[in-house]
Order: sequence, then C-alpha cells, then structure tokens
Amino acid sequence: MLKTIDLVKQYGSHTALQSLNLTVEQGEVFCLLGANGAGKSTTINLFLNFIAPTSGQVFVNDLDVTKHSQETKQFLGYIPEQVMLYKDLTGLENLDYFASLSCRRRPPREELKELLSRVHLAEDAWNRRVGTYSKGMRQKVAIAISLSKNAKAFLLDEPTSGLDPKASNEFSALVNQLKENQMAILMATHDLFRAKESGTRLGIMKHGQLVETLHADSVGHADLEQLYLRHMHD
Amino acid sequence: MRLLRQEWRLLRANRAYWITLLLLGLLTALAFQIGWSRAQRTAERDQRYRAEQAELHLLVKEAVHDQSEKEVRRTMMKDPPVDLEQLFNRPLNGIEKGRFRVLWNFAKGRFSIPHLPWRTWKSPSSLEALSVGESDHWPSFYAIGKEWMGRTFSPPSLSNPFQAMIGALDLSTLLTVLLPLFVIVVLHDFVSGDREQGTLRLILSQNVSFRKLMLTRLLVRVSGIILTVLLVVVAGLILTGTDLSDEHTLRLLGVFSLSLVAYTLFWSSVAWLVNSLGLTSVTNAVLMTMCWVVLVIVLPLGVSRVVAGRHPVIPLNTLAAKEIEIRALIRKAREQQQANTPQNEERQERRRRTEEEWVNSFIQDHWIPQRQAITAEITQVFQNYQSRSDALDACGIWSPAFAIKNTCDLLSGNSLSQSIEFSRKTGEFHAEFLAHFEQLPHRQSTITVEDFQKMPVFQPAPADRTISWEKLRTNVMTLAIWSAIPFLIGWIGFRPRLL
Repeated sequence: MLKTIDLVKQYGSHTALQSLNLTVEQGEVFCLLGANGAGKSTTINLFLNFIAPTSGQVFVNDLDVTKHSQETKQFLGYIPEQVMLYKDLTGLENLDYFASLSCRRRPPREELKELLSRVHLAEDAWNRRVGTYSKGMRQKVAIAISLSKNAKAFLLDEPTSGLDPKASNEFSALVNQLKENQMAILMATHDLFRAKESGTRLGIMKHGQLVETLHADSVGHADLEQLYLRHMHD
Repeated sequence: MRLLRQEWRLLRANRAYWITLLLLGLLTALAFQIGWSRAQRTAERDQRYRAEQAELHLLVKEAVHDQSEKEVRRTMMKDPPVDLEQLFNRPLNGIEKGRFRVLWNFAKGRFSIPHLPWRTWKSPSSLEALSVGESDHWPSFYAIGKEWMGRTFSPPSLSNPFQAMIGALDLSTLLTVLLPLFVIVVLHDFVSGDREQGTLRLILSQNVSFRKLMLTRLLVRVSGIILTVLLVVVAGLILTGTDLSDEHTLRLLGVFSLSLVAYTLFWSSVAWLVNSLGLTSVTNAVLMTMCWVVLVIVLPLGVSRVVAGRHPVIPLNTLAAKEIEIRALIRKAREQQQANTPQNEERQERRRRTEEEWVNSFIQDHWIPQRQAITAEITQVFQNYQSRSDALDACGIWSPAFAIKNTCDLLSGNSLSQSIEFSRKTGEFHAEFLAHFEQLPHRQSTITVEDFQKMPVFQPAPADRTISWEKLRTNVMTLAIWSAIPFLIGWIGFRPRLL
C-alpha cells in the first residue's frame, strides 16, 4: 500500500533522507523510530507530496505520488503531531467541512455522527467548538476525517507526543482498530512503548537511513530500548 | 458548488468577518446619505429657481403686454405695478421682494432683459449620489444674460479639481480609498492564516485542488464585500426614489457594479499574490498596505501634481485681477477720451448725438472689447482645464484608483470632463444668446413680448446623458487588466509553504 524506492531528499548540502526503501502492507503498522532530524517526518511529508523528492520514488496504492498527487491523497489519512482544526467550528462542523473537501458528495449528518462514534469522541463534545477540545479529541476528529474518505493508509506523525497516558492508551486502541480494518499505517514516533504495543514492524532511522527493521513480536520492551539506544550512540 | 457551500459554512462562523462587513455597510450607507442629500439640495435649488423664474416670466410678460411704453418708463426703478404677493398667491419675504424688484427692473431696463432661465444649472445625474467631490471644486451653474456676459465662472467654486481625489466622504472616495482597506482586513491571511493556525497541513492532505479551494475561499470572502456595497447602494437608490426601471439608469448601475467588482477583484488578486509568497499574515498585511499607500495615495497625488505642473491653470484670483485690470484700462481710456474732447465740443457732440447712439458707441468701443478680452482669458482657462482632464485620462492606467474614481465621477455626472463639457455648451449658448441680443434695436427703451419670446433658451442635457461610454469602457478594461496581472503571477507561482 505504501512503498518507497531508493528515496532521497536533500536540502542543499544536507541529506535528510538517504536511499530509503520501505514497504507497508495493508493491516500492518510500521513504526518509524529515531531521534529528531532522523528523517521520519520527511518520509511522511514525501508520501503526502508536501515536499518533492530529490530522487527515488514514492508510491501509494501503486500510484506514483509525484505524478498523481491528488489521486493518492484519496487513499491517505494524515494525523499530524498537532492536529489543528477550525476553532470557531464544532467537532461535527469540522468533520463536515473536511469530509466534504475529499468526498464527491456531502456526507449525511447521520454518517458523520456515526464516524465520531467510531473514533469514540464523547457525544456531548460533537456540538462544542473545537477551541475547547484537548489534543486527543482533535486527533479523534482527524481520524474521523480520514475515515470519511475511506482512507486505506494512515500516516501518523508523532501522534502520542503530549498525550496523557489515558489518551495515549485510547489512541493505541484506535490504531489497533484501524489495523484490524486492514489499514496500512506508517507511524513516526519517539514512544518506544506505544510502538511496541501497536506496531507490526519497527524501523529505526538514523541520519536519514533506515538502519534496522524488526518485527514487533520478536523483541521485548527492554531489548527494544537497548537496541534503540545502541543505534543512537553509534 | 460543493466547495462554495463549504467555504460559505466556514465563513458563517467567522465573527470578525461579519463585523467588518457591518462596518463597511454602515460606512457605505453614510457616504451614500451624504452624497444623496447634497445632490438633493442641488436638485431642489435648481427646481426652486426654475419655478421662480417661470412665475416671474409670466409676471413680466403680462406687465409688458399691458403697459404702454410711457408707463414702463414711469415705473422704471420703482416698485412693480402689480401686487407680487397676489400674483404669486403666497406671502413673499423681504429678500424675495427685493430680488423680484431687481428682476423687474432688469426686465424694463435698457441693457438687460430677464431670461428663462437666466442661470443655467447642471441637471443632476440619476446616480448623482455616487460622487460629490468635484462639484465642490467646479461650478455647477452658469449665469446667462447681458449683465453676465463676462462672468462665466462662479468665483467661489473655481479651484483645483484634483483635490477632489481625496475629498469629502462620498461614495467614490469610500470605494477608492477605504474599500481596499476592508479587502486587506478580510483577505490578507486567507492562506497564511491557515498555515499559522495549523489547518493548512490537514487541508493539503485532502484530495482537493488547493488552488481551486483557495480561489473559492477568496471569491466567497470577497463577494461578501461586493454584495454589501451593492446592496446598500441599490437600497439607497430605491429608498431615495431613483427610477430603476429606466433602462439608461440600469445600464449605469450595471457599469458601476462591474467597476466595483473589478476594483475589488484587483485588491483580491493582490491578496492572492502576497499569500502566494508564503509570508506571514503580518507581512502580507504590511505588503498590501504598502500597495495601498502607493496606488491610492502616492501615485494619484504624484500624477495630479505632475499634470497640474504641466498644464497650469490660471488661479481664480489671477483671473479676477485680470478682469479688474481690463476694466481699469477701459475706464482710463474713457476718461482720457473725455479729457481729450474739448468741453464745448463735447456739449455740442452730446447735443448732436442721441442718448441711444452714445450707448451704442460705448458698447462698440468699450464693452465688447472688454468682453472679448475676458472671454479670451476664460477660453484659455478652459483649454488648460481640458488639457488637464485629457492628461488625467491618459494617466488613468497608472493606478486602478484613478479608474474607479473616474468611473464614479462619470456616472454621477461630476467628472471634470463633463463639467468642462457643460461649461463649453453654456459658453456656446451664451455666445448665441448675446449675438441674438446684439441684433435687438437699442433705441427701444424696452423689449417687446415678441422679442422676448424669440430669445434662445438653454436646455442642458441631464448629466448622465453626457457620459462618455468610451471612457467608461477604458476604465473597466484598465481595472480588469490591473486585476489580471497580480492574479496570474500568483496563480503561476502559487505553491503553499507549509513550515
């Protein structure tokens, strides 16, 4: 579903991403781990065509992102680190607005409410202005937005940073739910615990390179931390 | 349509936008009210004057008809032989009585006749309320008659009409100067605001054309501004009794709407361009304000100064001084003529000549040359103003502010070129009137009803019938080109900056 081939991104003389080859299949959660500046967010930005690759190719559902930018976005759900919505609109109105941008028709009110229920947003919050929402609640609306366009793949950029343990746990549950629904998920994170909990495969990035890939089941929490720290200190 | 509806829903929740529109609507209503009430005063003054003249015309006609020449002579410089209040069927105040007495004497006098109308007013345009600026600086009426042959300008009215570019708060000033500021408030952050708010990332991750979405957003926001101004103006016109079923008026209103749309779109495309540069909202607002300062304030004032420098007009006081100078020369010549004529010969001459012959001689030797000299000066002033007007039209392409201001002035009938045209037509009529008057037998101590009825009467065309459609077309085209340039540059270079 998500694939990169020899992907390179350079900013002047600085190489942000170096020959990245990555595949995320449906029903799989691939967690990208790494320090700040390792190239995790750059990878996500390249999938969304927010930035153009220096060389290499990016595919979403076998479509080249640079050539079919708009079509590929139809398959992608995106949850940025800080989900920002229109503060003057309610959660339901925000969902209505963003869902209408992607869909050919305006989704019926009941369908939107059903989506908010699916992401477990409390019903009393639906008609409240988003300005009063917590980060976790905004994330839920963003997931509902992605679900409204029947996204097949999710790009999550540091989704659990700044979330309290309860909200973080709820988010993990949502990710698992998406995984069960055969979504392909690429998640960039610093949170080793959540990565181990939700991930299918884990990739450790350093200086724009994917230095290690492993199955989440093949490693324990403590071993993962040791492995991560070893790579960071190399 | 789907995007339009969504952007409209988004805008509905934007309280700041609606407050801005409310303020714009109130200001437009105020400007319209100022323009309309002033236009109304002019129209009422014109109507009242014409009604009084019509009554006086009847009065004089009847009196002249009924009286013998001897009686006319006897009543010269005295009260009219009729009860004016009874004739007008209403009480007259002291000023009115005095005025009618003077007019009565003019009617009986040797060198002048009453004339209908002896003052001619520029008839207001149906869209007069759009602009009042230049009428402050240019005469809106002219005196016609033997007594007034040297007085084409109404002295306090003559000034530099270019000052009207930033004149009183009329609709044209509001639209030219203040409307762009409202566009800046509403549109300076229509893309950068989303970036700063953080919503841009989420928007760009949707499978929708970003340009199309932003263009829709821009159009929705700007259409609120256009609709607010148009609604207030149309409501104002309806409430003030303008006949909007008249095809000509509707066409004028159409041109006004088109110009308003084009001018607002120009400022919208400036917003589009600065937002495409990917700068912060504050920088966008500063850049747009700088554009406003240059295009609305600095450039028009600069061009006005250059045009005024290249085509200087004789200031009013200089013209008045010249008139005094010419009169003094004539007086001196007359005194010299009298001094050179021996006293006894003069007595003989006086005896020999009839009074009427002396008058004819005086008119021929002094009055006509004086009139010709002053007319030459006035002609020069007209030519200078005409060349100023032409130069201003030629410079109109240098700023969209010129184009919208000129359009409003044209539609309201208060443009410089229309005022000059009206002055020119009045001047032509004046010449015709005087030529007719010269042919009248001066021996007669009064003028017969038949003579009176043969005098030409000036019928000014309504100001909105003197509009140059060619100039309007040029203005609208100018605005369209100004709008297209920043829009196309922005369109080609539009690449949203995320970080």
